[in-house]
Amino acid sequence: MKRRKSVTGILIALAICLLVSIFSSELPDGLEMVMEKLGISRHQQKASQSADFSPLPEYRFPRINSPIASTALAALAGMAVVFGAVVAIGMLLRKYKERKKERPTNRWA
Amino acid sequence: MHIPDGFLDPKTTLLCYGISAGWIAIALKRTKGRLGEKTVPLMGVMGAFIFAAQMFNFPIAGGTSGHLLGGFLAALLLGVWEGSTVMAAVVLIQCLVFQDGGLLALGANLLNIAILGAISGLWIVKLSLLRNPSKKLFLLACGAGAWLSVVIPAAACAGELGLSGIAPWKTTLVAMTGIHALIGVVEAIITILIIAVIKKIRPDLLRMSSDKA
Repeated sequence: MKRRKSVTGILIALAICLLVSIFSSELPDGLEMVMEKLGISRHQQKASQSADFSPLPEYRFPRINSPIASTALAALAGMAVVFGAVVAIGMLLRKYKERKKERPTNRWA
Repeated sequence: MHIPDGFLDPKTTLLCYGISAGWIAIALKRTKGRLGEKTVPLMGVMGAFIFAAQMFNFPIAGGTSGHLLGGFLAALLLGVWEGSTVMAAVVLIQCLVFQDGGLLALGANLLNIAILGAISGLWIVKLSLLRNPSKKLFLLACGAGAWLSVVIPAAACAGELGLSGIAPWKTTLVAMTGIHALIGVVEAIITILIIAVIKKIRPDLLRMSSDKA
């Protein structure tokens, strides 16, 4: 049952990635549009300054020529990283409680 | 609406980093030890879904696009503190891995998308729950909450640009809330659809949040 759920989840994730990479609009978003309208877009700093930090800039997987595949892979990678990070934070937050619970029993033992 | 680097002045940058860091510290403290066994994977799935949803830009009026923010949905299903923690993880990864939103502007983006996105709509649903709403009214309240959870961060974004002195805040405010009022309608419709589906197939997820409310 649990395994079936995970498989369903992964299939849904794959479907979402494909959907995003095929249909996502390339138009500027609300903030970009407003900045262009106000004529302040030029203030944007070149992203290259922090290039060392960003393995997948602009939601593209490097060295893959097909834009759809490149975006789908980036989406998949991002979903995996976010899932992993959030579950890790959640597990740490849960663990903390158990440790805290133990402390008083140790003290009075 | 991720702000890139180069638009915020040091004062605004510091202020936003301060508020966001403080909020996240409180959120971690409040959720510490209170997470149920089933909440953790749910948080992970929520985070992954919101990340993907934010990549999905739909065209909206006048050559502009918008995407789902999802902060309201996260807060509704997980609670405000858990929801903003998940949203913060998404915004952080968008910034560090995908270069969406500047590193210096990260504080502001956390404040707008992760924090204001999670808190600005939920109170309507909580108010509606006091009156034991019908299904229609509950979904309507969710829609209103989702709409606010887009428009208020947009207004805050305009405020931050104004505070930085880079653009007149009045013009920015009108332009930002105007376009995001439209994007918010899409957010509201999608959120209502998602909640209606969840209500049908996993009503336990919604009960969890209304217990907390």
